[in-house]
Amino acid sequence: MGLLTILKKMKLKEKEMRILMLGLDNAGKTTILKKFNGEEIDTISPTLGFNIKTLEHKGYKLNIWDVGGQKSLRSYWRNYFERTDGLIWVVDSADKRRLDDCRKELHALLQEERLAGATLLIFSNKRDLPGALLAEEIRDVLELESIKTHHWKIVWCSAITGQNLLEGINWLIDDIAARIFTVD
Amino acid sequence: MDKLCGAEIVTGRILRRERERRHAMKEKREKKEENMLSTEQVSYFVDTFTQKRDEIEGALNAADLGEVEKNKLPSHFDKISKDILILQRFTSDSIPYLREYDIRKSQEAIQNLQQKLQELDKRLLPKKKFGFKKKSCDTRKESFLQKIEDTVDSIPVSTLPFKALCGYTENNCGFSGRTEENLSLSDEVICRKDIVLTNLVGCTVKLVGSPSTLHMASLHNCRIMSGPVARSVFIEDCVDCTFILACQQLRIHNTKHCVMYSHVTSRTVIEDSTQLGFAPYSLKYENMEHHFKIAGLDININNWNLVDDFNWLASDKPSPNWHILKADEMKDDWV
Repeated sequence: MGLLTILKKMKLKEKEMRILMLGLDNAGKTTILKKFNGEEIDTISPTLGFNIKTLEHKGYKLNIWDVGGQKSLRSYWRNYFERTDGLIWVVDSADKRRLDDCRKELHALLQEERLAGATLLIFSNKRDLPGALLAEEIRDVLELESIKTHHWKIVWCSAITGQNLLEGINWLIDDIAARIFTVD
Repeated sequence: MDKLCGAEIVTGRILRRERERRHAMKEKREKKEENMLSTEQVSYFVDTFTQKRDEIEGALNAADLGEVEKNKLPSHFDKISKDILILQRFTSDSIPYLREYDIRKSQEAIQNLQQKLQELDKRLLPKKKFGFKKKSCDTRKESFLQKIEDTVDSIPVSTLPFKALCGYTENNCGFSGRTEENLSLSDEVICRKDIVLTNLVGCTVKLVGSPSTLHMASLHNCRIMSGPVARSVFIEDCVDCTFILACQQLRIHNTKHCVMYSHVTSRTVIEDSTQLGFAPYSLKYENMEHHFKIAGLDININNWNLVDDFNWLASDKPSPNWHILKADEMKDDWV
C-alpha cells in the first residue's frame, strides 16, 4: 500500500481526470474546448495565457487545461505537465507550412518525463477546410508510428461544426479510465 | 378454561415456528442460487480471460519465432498492445464479482504479457527505423534548401517553410520570388483558396476577391491589398511593408516596420515584432460588400485597434511594439 495506491484510490473516488490540451497557435484548441462545452465560438481570439474548464462527461469530472500555443508561450507549457492523465494535441490539418514545426514540438513534448504514461489523442482539426490533409497523411507527416511511449490515436475533427469531437474525447476517457481506475 | 387458553398459546407458537422455518429455507435457497450465479460468472470470466490470454501469447510467440514479416511488425505489436488493453478493461469491468485471488492472478498475467511485449518490441524493433526516417527527411530538406538558394539569393534559412510535404495536393495559389512587379489575382482565381505570397521584394499585389486564408512570408518593401479573407491572415518575416486587408483573425510574427490597414472581426496578435502601425481598413472597390458576405465577415464589426502583443504581458503599460497611426499619417487612396 504505497503512496501511489492511496493516490489512485483517492482519484477513483472522485473519478477525476486532468487533461492538457496543447498544439501550435491557431490549431483550434480553444474552439474545441468551447464547442465541446457548448459555448459560443464566434468571438474566440488567440489565447493569451490559458483557459481551464471543468466539465462532467460520462460520469467523470474532466479538468481540461487549454494553454496558448504561440511561440512565446510554449516555454510555459511545462508548468502544466504535473499530474496530467491525458494529452490532447491539436493540429491544424490545413496548415501544411507548419506541420514540420508541429512534428518537432510534439516529439519534444513526448520526451518530457512528467508526461510519461499520459494517453495521447491527436485531433486532426479543420477537416471542413478545402485543402485539409487526411488524418492518415497527418499521421505520416507527424511520424506518429514512431511513438512507443504513449497510447495514442489520431482522430479527424472539425471544431467549427463539432464533428467527431465526441468520438475523440470518448476514446481518450476510456483509455485513461482503463489505466488509472483499475483497482489493484 | 385455563387449559383451552394454554392450547391456543401452544398452537400459536407452533405456527410461528413453522413460518420462521419456511422463511429461513427460502433465504437459504436464494442464497444458494446467488452463489451459483456468481460461480457461473467467475467461470465465464476465467474461460474468456484464458482464451484471450492464449491468443495474445500466440501472437507474441509468432513474432518471437520470426513468423511475422519485418515490415508488419509495428502494426502487429500495435494490435497486441490494443488486445492487452481490452483484456485489462475486461478484467477491471469484472472486478465486482471476482474473488481477490482471481483479480490478482489476472493482473499478474496481464503484467507478464505487457512485459513480454515490451521485451520483444525492444529486441525486434530497434530504433533503427526512426533514425533512418529522420535521415531521409534531412536529405530532402537539404536538397530543397539548395534548390531555393540557386534561384533566389539571401533568404534566411529559418523562413523556408515547406518540407516533406511536396507530395500532397495543394489548394494554394500565389506568387513567390518576384521583384519590382505589379501583381494581381482575380476573384475567380482566389475564391475559397489558400493564398501564399513568399519572397517578394518591392512588389504591389492586389487580391480582389475572397480567399479562404492568406499566408505571407519574407516580403520586403511590398504593398499588399486584399479583399475579405474568410479566416486567418498570417504574416511572418516581413519588413517595410504596407498591408491593406480584412479577415477574421490577423497574426503577425517576426515582422518589423510595417503598416496595417485592417478590418479584423476578432483580434490581432503580434509576436516578436516591432514598429507596427495600425489603422482601419480603407480599401474600396466594386463588389466589396458582396465579398464580405461570401467570406462570412461582418462589415460592421472592426476590431483593428485591439492588438495582443505576446511579448508584452504587462497590462498596466501599453506595448512599445505597436501604435495607432495618427490621422494625418493615414492613407485611403490605394489606386
